[in-house]
Amino acid sequence: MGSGMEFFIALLGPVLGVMFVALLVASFIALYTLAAVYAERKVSAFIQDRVGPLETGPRGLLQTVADILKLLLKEDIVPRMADKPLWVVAPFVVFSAVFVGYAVMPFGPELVAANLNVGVLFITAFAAFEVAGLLLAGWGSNNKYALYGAVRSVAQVISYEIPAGLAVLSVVLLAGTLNLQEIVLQQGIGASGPRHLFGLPFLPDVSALGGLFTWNVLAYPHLLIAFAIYFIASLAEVNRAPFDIPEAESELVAGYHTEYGGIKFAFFYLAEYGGMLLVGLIGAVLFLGGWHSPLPNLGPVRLADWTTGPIWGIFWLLLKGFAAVFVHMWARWTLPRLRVDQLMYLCWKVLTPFAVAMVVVSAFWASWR
Amino acid sequence: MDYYRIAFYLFGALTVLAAVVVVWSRNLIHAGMGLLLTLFGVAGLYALAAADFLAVVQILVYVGGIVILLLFGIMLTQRIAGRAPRTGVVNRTVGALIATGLFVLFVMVIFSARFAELPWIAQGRMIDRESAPPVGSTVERLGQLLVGPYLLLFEVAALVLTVALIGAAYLARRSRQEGARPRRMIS
Amino acid sequence: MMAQRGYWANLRTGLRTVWTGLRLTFRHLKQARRRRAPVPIWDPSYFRQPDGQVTIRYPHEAIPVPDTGRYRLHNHIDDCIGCLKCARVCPVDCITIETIKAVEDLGTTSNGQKKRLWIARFDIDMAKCCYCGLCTMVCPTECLTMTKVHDFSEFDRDNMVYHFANLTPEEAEEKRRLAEAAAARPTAPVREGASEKPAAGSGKPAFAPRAVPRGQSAPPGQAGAPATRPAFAPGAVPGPEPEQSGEAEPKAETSSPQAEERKPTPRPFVFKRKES
Repeated sequence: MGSGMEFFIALLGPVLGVMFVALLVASFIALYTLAAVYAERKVSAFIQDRVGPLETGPRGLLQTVADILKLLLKEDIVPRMADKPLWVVAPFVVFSAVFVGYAVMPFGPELVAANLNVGVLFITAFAAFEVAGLLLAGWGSNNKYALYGAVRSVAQVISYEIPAGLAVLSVVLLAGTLNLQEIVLQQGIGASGPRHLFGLPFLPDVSALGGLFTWNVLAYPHLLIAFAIYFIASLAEVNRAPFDIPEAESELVAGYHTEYGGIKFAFFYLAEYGGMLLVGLIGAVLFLGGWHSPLPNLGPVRLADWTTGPIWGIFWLLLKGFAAVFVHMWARWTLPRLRVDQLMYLCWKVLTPFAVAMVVVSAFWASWR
Repeated sequence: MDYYRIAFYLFGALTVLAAVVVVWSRNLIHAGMGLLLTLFGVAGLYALAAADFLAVVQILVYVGGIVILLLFGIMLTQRIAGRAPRTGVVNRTVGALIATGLFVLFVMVIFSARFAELPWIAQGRMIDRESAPPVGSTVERLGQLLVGPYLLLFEVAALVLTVALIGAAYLARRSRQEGARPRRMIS
Repeated sequence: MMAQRGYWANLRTGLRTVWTGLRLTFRHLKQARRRRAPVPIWDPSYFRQPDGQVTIRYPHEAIPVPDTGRYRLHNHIDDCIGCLKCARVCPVDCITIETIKAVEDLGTTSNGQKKRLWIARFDIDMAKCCYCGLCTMVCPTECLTMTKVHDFSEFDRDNMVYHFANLTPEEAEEKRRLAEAAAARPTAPVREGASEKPAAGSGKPAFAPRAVPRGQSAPPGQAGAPATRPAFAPGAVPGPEPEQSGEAEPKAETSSPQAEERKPTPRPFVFKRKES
């Protein structure tokens, strides 16, 4: 009896710990989504010379809280002709696929939930898993708009995974590892081995300087193009404008989540905004130094040393992620939606060749280093 | 009962149950989704066997690619929803004989093989779990093997895939004679 | 559609236009710190606020309406001679007038016209009004005007009916009795005037049936109405509501018997609407 209890405690202890961390991240995503929806509405309003939400709470801050309360209180309607099991499970599949991506995200030194050796691949793989969720939602809804949206979304995500994957590969080739934490560690103070400015051997070694100069985009200037490719492709992967043809309001009502309401719809929202932040964080980790501070060590002013640590790590990484999310919003309210053929033109004729070129440059760079 | 064992049985059950759905479901989409779950469960089993790269690639290629393409194919097929895909049962005797024979063969192999004496399992049993160094990434070793001893196979596989890609593009292309409209640039 | 272009030209155009667009929207984003002031149109800066937020937070602030704004109707009842011109010209029939011939001297309007009629009822349904302003043009005494009050939404549609008459139902009843008594007296011009009403009613169905049957059948209905009726309360919202509902009921009662007499219709409610 006693040993049974001990057994269960020994069994449940770590499980509870993992669940606590997972809950922490999940609630962070939920809170961040509330803030991001508010930010998106404000950004869109300001870009269009409007004022945005203003009446609910001070400066309209409680508007999204009211929205989510409304979603939670809504009746859970299942369309009569829906394929019910698929329909019910789809939003949770989509959200989980985004959510697990945060598991391998290094938020700071020693601050990563699962330090996987194949972290980069892991995130890419589960981005593909999200596609399955979208397809489930579109098919399960038994609605032509939802199905069109899902099919478009799947075609788009699968296409844009290629330039995104190649852009990631060009980093991985230089880093020599698939571990996200190691990729981050190489981009800051204490990186093993010399790291010359702009990767050119005749320029000074900046590995002690840290900060901005050791980030991948500056250490290997061609990765700037790779970063641009990754950013554009990631916009398409999270179905954001100008690549939002899967949920094109003017043609498809709302795309794959046309039939959803209430908490299930909220999960799609969580997935969308969580995905935006996730791709932003991946971009930051791969190209912009991850949780490293942008401030360099300048002689006795050890800015990089002072602004490095677990709390600073979270701060810098989230700052970079939020900056990416902001650019997502900025682009959404600037650019018109692409047509399907333009979408494919951009992916296959522009992004992919350039991404391949970047991989080749990276390969030569890595072998001649 | 440690976590690995619990996880192993969970993934095993997931794989088998999903496989049952694949076989028994009359709804093609449900079967496709079952296949997806099966492959996912197998990926979990790979991960438990410390084959991290293989597990992730399994998800990336099979779950994210092949099953999705399969579902796409099903969905683009005319009028499949609501109709049970059924074919007539033919060759009952031969089929039953082959199935039973295979089953007996597999069971015999399983019982006659001495897994405990296989070199890598014997080695694994020798390793003390507490003191042994953690299993590193399989990525580097896989990469070295692929561009080392198995380079030829690797290149042949690449060639086959390239040929398949070109063939698919050729088949999908509108032929010159029929192609009424000239191709337009992005407008 | 652009002409056939080279790959690099396309790429360059794409990058350039995206960059231009992003710069443009970012400029607006920065300018959103400024906002347009709610200045009236006669302010010199009205057309000189090219950037910043343009939204006026309406219920909290508003661009002042010029005094020449022509929105809600107002009738200065002291100057109204009950000529019915406004009711006749109204394209949507939103003005309902009921007059009683006065036996005593009513004095003159401010521009010197003689008033001969009591205005027992002068209702304007602003929910129907199309703001064409024809009624104000035909008004001979210029007592019917449009004001600059433009925000007068209501929760109850009945509250959109504005009552301008200054007679209470009792007073109206009194005047009506006096008028009938005068008509019964053998005085030629008065009788003529009294018999003119039904004649006009049969002759001009467009507007007269409204006024005339009301004059005949109103007594039972009006007697049942509450005693205090605001003489003139266009703005007083909470006040008139109970009286109005009390008034609306008898309206329906008085009109439906007429409907059965003249034109049998299964929907008295519609009839009532048409009538009022």
